[in-house]
Amino acid sequence: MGEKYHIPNDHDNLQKHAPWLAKIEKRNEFQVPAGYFDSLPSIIQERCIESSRTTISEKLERFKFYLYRLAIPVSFAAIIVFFGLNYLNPADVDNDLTAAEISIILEEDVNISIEETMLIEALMENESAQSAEFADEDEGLIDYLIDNDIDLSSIINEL
Amino acid sequence: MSEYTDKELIEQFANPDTSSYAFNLLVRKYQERLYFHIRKIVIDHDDADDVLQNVFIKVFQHLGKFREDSNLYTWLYRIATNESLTFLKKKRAKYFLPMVDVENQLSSAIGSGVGYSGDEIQLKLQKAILKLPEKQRIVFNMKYYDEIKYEAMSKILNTSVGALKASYHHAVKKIESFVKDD
Repeated sequence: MGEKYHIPNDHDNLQKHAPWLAKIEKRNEFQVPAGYFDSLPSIIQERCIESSRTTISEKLERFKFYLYRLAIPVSFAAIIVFFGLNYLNPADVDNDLTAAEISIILEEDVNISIEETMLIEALMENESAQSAEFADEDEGLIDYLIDNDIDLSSIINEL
Repeated sequence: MSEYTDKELIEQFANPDTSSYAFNLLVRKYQERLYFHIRKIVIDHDDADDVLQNVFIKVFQHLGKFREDSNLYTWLYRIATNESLTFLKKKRAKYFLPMVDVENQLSSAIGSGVGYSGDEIQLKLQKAILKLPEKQRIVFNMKYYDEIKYEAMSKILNTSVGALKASYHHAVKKIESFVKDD
């Protein structure tokens, strides 16, 4: 062990390695106030009791601190999720205009641009709807003629 | 001073009914040794008092968890040493002082004679010791003044016995050299 650190085996021999140090008396010259060691145990006891109380309240404060720290971001996240769910998934919005709204538009002569193709489609829809209506009526009339055994040619002659 | 062994003190401390009494006895048993160990590191009495009280508060908080596989005395000394070194580090940081200036301050404190009653030779020795690096100073004090065995010192300072022997040898040589140069 001595070889690793290149120290002599008799390194403790102060006479040989530190003659000046070997000559002087080992004395503790540090002064201590009178009665210091008599009163110290009770001072330390009080501080230990105080530190126990402080430790408990410190733990409580630390718990509250983390609770508040956690509560704020969690609340914030919940609000974002709530609004996100409500506004990113739109509910069924009734886009159809009511009759009153249509009247207002017409009265105010709002310039509504209608594409020609849209107009043709609307007319065709209207015609097919009307012809369906008339078809229903025709069918009813024919049923009447058949049921009452009325000759169609005689009706035409009367006209 | 105390009739109880360390083991008995620890057992009594574990019992809530005798905890305060046991701790009181423990303080009385070790206060002087720990105080002077700390005092030699931090020099000033008020600083040593602060550090010592902090040491015992830590002991109080952790004694319940103390593993009896290590010596109580070694454990106390280790806490005291670490607290003293931490104190010096904080002092340097607080005043933005390099190590040398802290040591000069400590040297001046001894030289002022306040709290120190040594004659010229003892004063010379203390100033020489203060010129040693921090850890080396602690090793020297523990070996030279407290006559702590290297094996115990090794556990306290968490350093190998060989390194401690080397440290002490070099410390002794340096002190001789400082004194001759002075």
